[in-house]
Amino acid sequence: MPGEIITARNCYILIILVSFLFPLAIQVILIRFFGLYREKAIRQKGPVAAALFGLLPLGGLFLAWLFVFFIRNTAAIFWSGFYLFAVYLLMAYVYFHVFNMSETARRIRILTYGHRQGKVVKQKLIQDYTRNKMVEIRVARLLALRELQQRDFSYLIGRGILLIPARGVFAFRRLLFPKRIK
Amino acid sequence: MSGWDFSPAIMLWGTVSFLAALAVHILVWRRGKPPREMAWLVGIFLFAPAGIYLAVYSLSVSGEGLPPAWETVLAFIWHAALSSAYIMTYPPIQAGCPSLKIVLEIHRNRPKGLSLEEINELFPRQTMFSDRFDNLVEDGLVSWKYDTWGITGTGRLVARCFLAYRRLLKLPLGEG
Repeated sequence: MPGEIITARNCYILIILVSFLFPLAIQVILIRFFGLYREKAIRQKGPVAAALFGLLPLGGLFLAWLFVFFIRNTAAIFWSGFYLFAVYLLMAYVYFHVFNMSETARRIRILTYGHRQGKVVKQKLIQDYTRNKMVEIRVARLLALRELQQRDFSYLIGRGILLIPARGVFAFRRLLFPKRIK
Repeated sequence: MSGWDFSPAIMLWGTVSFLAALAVHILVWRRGKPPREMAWLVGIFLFAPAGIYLAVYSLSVSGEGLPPAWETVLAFIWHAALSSAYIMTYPPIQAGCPSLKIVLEIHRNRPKGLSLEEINELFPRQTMFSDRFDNLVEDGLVSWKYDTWGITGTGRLVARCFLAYRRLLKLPLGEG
């Protein structure tokens, strides 16, 4: 019976599941149709912008759901909205990391390079991707994101937004690997 | 009116089960990092809790005194979202993300900052790439076959997914 399938609960779950695709779909639109966030230096802003734009269709779907199912309980509206947007933001964060992996992860670079070549020549990879080159790529990225600024021959902290996750990541690393990190 | 209700306890239970999985993860890792750590992470954070939630769901469909089945589903979605976010944060924690290390070291050396040569010296010359290569071997994505290193079936699947993803975005491959 259709009446049993189209319920407030099922539609709520459906909105949650569909919302997982918003960041990807919107990033595709931003890049392919508007040519935004294509440049190497600002590509990492793409998934962030896509996730923020995704709040609009999500909000629209949530309002439509409230309207269609005639939901008037204020506390339930607040908590179901809070839950929906919190799950969406967590999944958008997951998507941001998937994009980052495709952009910056050394492991993904090895795998895609090896897949295309049919084999992995470890020594060649090490020669092609030296320590200095790796640092150069990252410093350029951090400068473009304004996390670093250059003064003469020195690099200084820019906006400082990455300092917070950096402290968190390294503190947690010490907790997880007490033997490895002295 | 649909009689819709939403208990904030749903998020509480999801958070509690996530914290329980996190505690297990920390305890296991502090004793010594297991091989194939991503498989372990998925097991600890997703598969094992999914089994528990499934059992609670089955009981709550028929039993009394348990949370309604519907709330169990939402609690698991909340748990899975928190866990997925953590699992995606783990690689930079494990590998000591170089970009974050650069930011931290420059901050430590304020107000002078660091030159490019000094930033280079933060990282060992040999291990930057080969450590990641060793991780791939450990995770079964790369293997030694017929006198050469090759990508395994799982490794090819991962590579294909990322190549297709970049094509979808119409972007060239990342530089690593």
